[in-house]
Amino acid sequence: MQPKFKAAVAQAAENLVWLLEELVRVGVLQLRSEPSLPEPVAG
Amino acid sequence: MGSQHVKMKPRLVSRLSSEYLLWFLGQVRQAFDGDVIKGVIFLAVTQANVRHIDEGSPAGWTELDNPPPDNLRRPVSAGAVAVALGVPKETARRKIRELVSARFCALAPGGVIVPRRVFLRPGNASGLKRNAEHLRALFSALDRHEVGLVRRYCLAVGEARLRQLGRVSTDFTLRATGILRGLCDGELLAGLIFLSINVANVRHITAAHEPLYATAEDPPPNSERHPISALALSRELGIRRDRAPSCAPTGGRRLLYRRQGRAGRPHRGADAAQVQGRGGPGGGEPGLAA
Repeated sequence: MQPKFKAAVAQAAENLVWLLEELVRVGVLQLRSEPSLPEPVAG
Repeated sequence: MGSQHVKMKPRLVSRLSSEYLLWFLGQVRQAFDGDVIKGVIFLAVTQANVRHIDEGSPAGWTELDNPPPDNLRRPVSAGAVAVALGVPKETARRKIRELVSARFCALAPGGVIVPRRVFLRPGNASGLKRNAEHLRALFSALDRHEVGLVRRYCLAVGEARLRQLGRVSTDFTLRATGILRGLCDGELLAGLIFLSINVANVRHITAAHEPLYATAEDPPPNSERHPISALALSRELGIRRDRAPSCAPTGGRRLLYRRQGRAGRPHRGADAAQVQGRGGPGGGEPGLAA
């Protein structure tokens, strides 16, 4: 596998982490323990 | 957030998020008569207009029925969009002119905006709801494969914050297109074609219950990749069938493509890919968010 593909896989995974962290930062994703938000992400 | 889980299974995470990405781009493509480049340009204009809204402390405009007003939207020039996406300036100008003619964009001092009225059109809200459903499916799959990073979090109940969710999804998509362009000498369409081919090749692996080929060092072998035909590719991305792409990165083409009806044979008559301006199936609503 060419290094650029391997790097792209890592970048794509990091982009997903960015998505989740951004959703947490702006308040779209919140800790499950908060009682006002009972619906799990995986629902 | 548990990013170490992602680092342990980057290939799995990449495959799962690519499925979502391709779905998102498919929605955009359908909304613009099958022209995926025009759709991505629309996303880039939208993002440039409203990116500042969610920076720092989020300022609101989070709900389905309440997109940001026009006076908060910062105009962007076609040149800036061209640079951001790596498309020729003339292409950006032409597509933006078409978007203005179709009233998806409006001229403003210093550039163009996607006006608020576009996001109040029928279908926009349902598009944002579908986006949330697909993100839930993505998170669910990550959870199922014990990636772990989403387990402690939940989305807001019901329809809360779906517009804001859509804006972040748009940012995610544009960042991903940048990664794809990096694989394909900076060419956006080539990157999108590569994405479509790669997703199709390994879709059965992505859908497996077990986390197969999850690590960086363990890509699926060629023998397990299912080729995609030129016809299927043309349907998926709205590109001309007779212009099956030559722009997949070197070394992969023979395995990635096959002629329709000739399983296993490479498509050798490849030519430069070109967007076909025909309608895709269905008809989504542009601008999932903003």
